Amino acid sequence: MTLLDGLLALLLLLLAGRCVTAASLLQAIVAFIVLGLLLALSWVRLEAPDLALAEAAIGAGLLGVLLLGTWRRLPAGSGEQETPWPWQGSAQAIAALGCVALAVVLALALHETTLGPAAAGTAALAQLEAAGVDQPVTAVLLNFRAYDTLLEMGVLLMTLIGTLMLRRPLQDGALAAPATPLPQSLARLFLPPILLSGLYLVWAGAYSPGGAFQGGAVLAGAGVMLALTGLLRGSTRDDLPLRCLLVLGAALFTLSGVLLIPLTGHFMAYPDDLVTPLMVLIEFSLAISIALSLMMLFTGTPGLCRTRP
Amino acid sequence: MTGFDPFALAAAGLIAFGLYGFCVCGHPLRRLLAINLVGNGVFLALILIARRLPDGPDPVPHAMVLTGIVIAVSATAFGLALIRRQARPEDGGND
Repeated sequence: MTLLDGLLALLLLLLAGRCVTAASLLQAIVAFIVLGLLLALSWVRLEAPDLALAEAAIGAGLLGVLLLGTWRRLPAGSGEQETPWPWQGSAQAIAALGCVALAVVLALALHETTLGPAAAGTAALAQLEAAGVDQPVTAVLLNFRAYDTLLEMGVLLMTLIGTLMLRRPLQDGALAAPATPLPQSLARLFLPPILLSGLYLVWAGAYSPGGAFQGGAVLAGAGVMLALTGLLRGSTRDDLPLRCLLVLGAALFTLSGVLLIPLTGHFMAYPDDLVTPLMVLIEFSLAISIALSLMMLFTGTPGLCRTRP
Repeated sequence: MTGFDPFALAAAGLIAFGLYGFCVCGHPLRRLLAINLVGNGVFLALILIARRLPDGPDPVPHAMVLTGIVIAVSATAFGLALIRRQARPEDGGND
């Protein structure tokens, strides 16, 4: 245990407490966003740079934008709370008692848990040669546990459809253009490097930390920036090419799984000589679908269009 | 492992704070934050366990957490859409 680890853990706990007990809703949201960033930092310390990238881009970045966007549309002063502390009521006291007991049991369980030699990770690391990519996490996501990832794309599409059904696009999605031209020119300046780093992250997923999720999240961040500065805006028109891109990841994943059954005999098994190009193809199509889905969860509209200057 | 891992305490604390917030807070957005706290605690716990594989970090829990992050943010976005609709029901009538 180093000082930095202890400090990070302490800050995580303080921010979680702040998030739960802050009097104003805005303070709680800000505490949550900072917690996400510190969590990303902790995961770097815990040898999980892949996840740190994803948490920084999605958990702290995109989720923060979504939370603040919703907060702005709530009636002013809503979500204030006066009695969040355990000593302010019997219900709070009972809840606190139970949660402290849970925390003690969980901490002891986490302290005791060990992984035996038969863990799934041992098998995954041993079979890495056959996966077509060098990065173990990408190999698990796209090859060994491909079915999970496919279903996840389904969940992403379902929540997007649900969100679109719930929101009224023109009032929720349209953002007023900013008063000064400065944000727009800054956005134009930052767009190419952000797109480049997003695409690089997708490509790098084959051999180093990165991949479809991290790269897709960075690309979605670029889209959110364009929408916030008014360069892109949501439109109510149904956009067929856009819908095709939204389902591209799931469709290509399923198709490659089904079409290769005659060659391999199993659903979602890949022949050895095709596996690397297939992995790259699937990874890029997943990244495009993830980026667009995350971005449209933000705009809440069925279509997107460029704003004419 | 002789001492207590500080991150194990943090993971347990995040889950417990999240559950407490879910019990105590009345506002839906605060409850959504609390659920996300629990989720973050679970992710942290999974990453901690992944480190205990002798050959290096276990990629399977890592992949599960990566999937979990995306699922959590999309489910939260759906919850936020529900909260917006509840806060201003006049915005969302059937056209």
